[in-house]
Amino acid sequence: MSESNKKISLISSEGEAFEVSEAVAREFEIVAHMLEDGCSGSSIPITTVDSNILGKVIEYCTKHVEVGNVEGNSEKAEKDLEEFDKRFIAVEMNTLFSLILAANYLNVKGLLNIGCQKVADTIKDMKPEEVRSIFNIENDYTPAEEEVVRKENEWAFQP
Amino acid sequence: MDRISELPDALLFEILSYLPTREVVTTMVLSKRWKYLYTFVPTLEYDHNSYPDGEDRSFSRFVYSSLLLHEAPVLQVLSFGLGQNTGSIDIGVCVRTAIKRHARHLNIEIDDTCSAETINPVILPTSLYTGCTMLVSLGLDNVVLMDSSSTVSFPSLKILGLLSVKYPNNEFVPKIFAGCPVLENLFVDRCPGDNVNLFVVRVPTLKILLLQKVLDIHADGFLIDAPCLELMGINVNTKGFCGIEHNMPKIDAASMCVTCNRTEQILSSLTSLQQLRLCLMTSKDAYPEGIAFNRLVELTLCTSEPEWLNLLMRLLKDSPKLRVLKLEQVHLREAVNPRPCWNEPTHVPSCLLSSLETFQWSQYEGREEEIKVAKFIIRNSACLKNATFYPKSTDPVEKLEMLIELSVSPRSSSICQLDFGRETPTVRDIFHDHRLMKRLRQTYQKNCDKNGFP
Repeated sequence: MSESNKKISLISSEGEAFEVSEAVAREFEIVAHMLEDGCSGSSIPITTVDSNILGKVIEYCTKHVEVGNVEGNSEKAEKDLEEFDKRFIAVEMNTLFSLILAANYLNVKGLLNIGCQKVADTIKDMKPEEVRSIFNIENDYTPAEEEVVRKENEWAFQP
Repeated sequence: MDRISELPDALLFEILSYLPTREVVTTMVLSKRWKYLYTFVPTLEYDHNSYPDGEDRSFSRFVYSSLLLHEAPVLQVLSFGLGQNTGSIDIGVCVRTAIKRHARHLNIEIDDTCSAETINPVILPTSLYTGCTMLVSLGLDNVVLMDSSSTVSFPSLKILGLLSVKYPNNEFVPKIFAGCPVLENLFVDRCPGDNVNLFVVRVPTLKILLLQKVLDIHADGFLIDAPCLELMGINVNTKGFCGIEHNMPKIDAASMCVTCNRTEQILSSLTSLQQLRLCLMTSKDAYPEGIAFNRLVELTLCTSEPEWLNLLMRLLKDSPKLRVLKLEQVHLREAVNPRPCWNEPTHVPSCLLSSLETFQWSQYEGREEEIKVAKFIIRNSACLKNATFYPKSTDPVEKLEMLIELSVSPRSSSICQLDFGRETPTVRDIFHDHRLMKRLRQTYQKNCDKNGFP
């Protein structure tokens, strides 16, 4: 089923090694490119991602590689994967942003998409005040400045 | 800690591109970091439905202001959902924006019922035909296309949706497709009075085609010439011409619900199919003798019309690798129709002897000829693993009788399990599970679809 049994070690920022199959490592586009460029080393340092997050990204990729390998790709498998994604991304804000940054750096498109979608869903239908408090955004406008922004852009705040 | 504001701009644009523009612009008041971010988000999605009725002026003010202030040099997605009183938004400005901002995905959708006479038809400017060189997907819903002396050119277009579009004339349809040298996916939903008698799809690069025309009284037809087609869905009810010009050696799955005078030529072009769903209202001589479906693995056949039994027996005979057989009733059976007559074939079809594993019958009525064909299949299928019947009747006594009748029937396969399903499975398009379609749906949903193509 798997194209290759070769194992690759991904080294987190703390120096911890995560051994994964080549197929899983290739889900990281950055790694896939390194492999294609003839990088033959069996251990690849991922210096900007810590062990906790790297472990999670590997969990995500492993699941997606597994499901991708199932022949026929039935509706049930697709539903399972959707459920998995939903559960996987239901994390607290801090982890969510770390996952997005890691997915962006490692170029794992699927994970980046569900991460951004999750943040967008959180913003959706919220008032600016609510968005600020959810994400701890410090409002550095003075009340007078904010009033000006709103006034000058009335078109944007129409009911 | 404010992690979101620390994200690089590119990631914030990505996040904001999942939100309708109306919500995106309000982020400008979050903090100074956010003040101008919204003007660079490469997605602009306007939907008049998010404004209360009669608020057309607020909507148009919003659209024009945000367009004017927008800075992104390239737009990934530009989408307009406009209402009936579209007078307040100039469609020319929409198209011009798409051209100037090198839009990749453009969607123009007018909320209106498809009718022969729309009060305020939205006529697209002809600059659309030549200016959108970067366009990858284009979705048009309920608009009018005008003829143009210049050629049509969409050099990058891969996905095209033409829903309830009115064309200037017959010849214009092939002219559009001739201007799409890399088109792969085409969705057409025709409406009455679209000025086209014969809808000609001549696209050598096409992989997926869905052609629908449910309501019609005219004798309009279609002609398909797409030798690279992999997936085809046709739902057409016509008295006019229906044809496929070239064989389709790459065709993988097709769903055809066709009423037309001659189907022979259509089915003869589809011999490479692996999955077929068929509902022909005139299936007498559905395809010529000597044709074989040597790759067909899954067949779904509609039992609504009088000749279905004949067609089923022919398809079984001509599909030696069939593994899955599903019978369903898409249309209501007309009571006046003559009942099909069961003639026991002299030879057992080879797929029954060597490959058929799954047999499923929805809306099983237990009529005389149905019992006979069901028993014939169960008796002769050597590899059958599951036979499931979903009775149409809700009467428990009647259902029990049907079950007993079938369960005493001799079985050729020792592992065959006979089941009676409780609920009729919903009629589902065979594309539902299809890999290609899934990939397409993902791209399309993220980019511009709101109505949901099939």
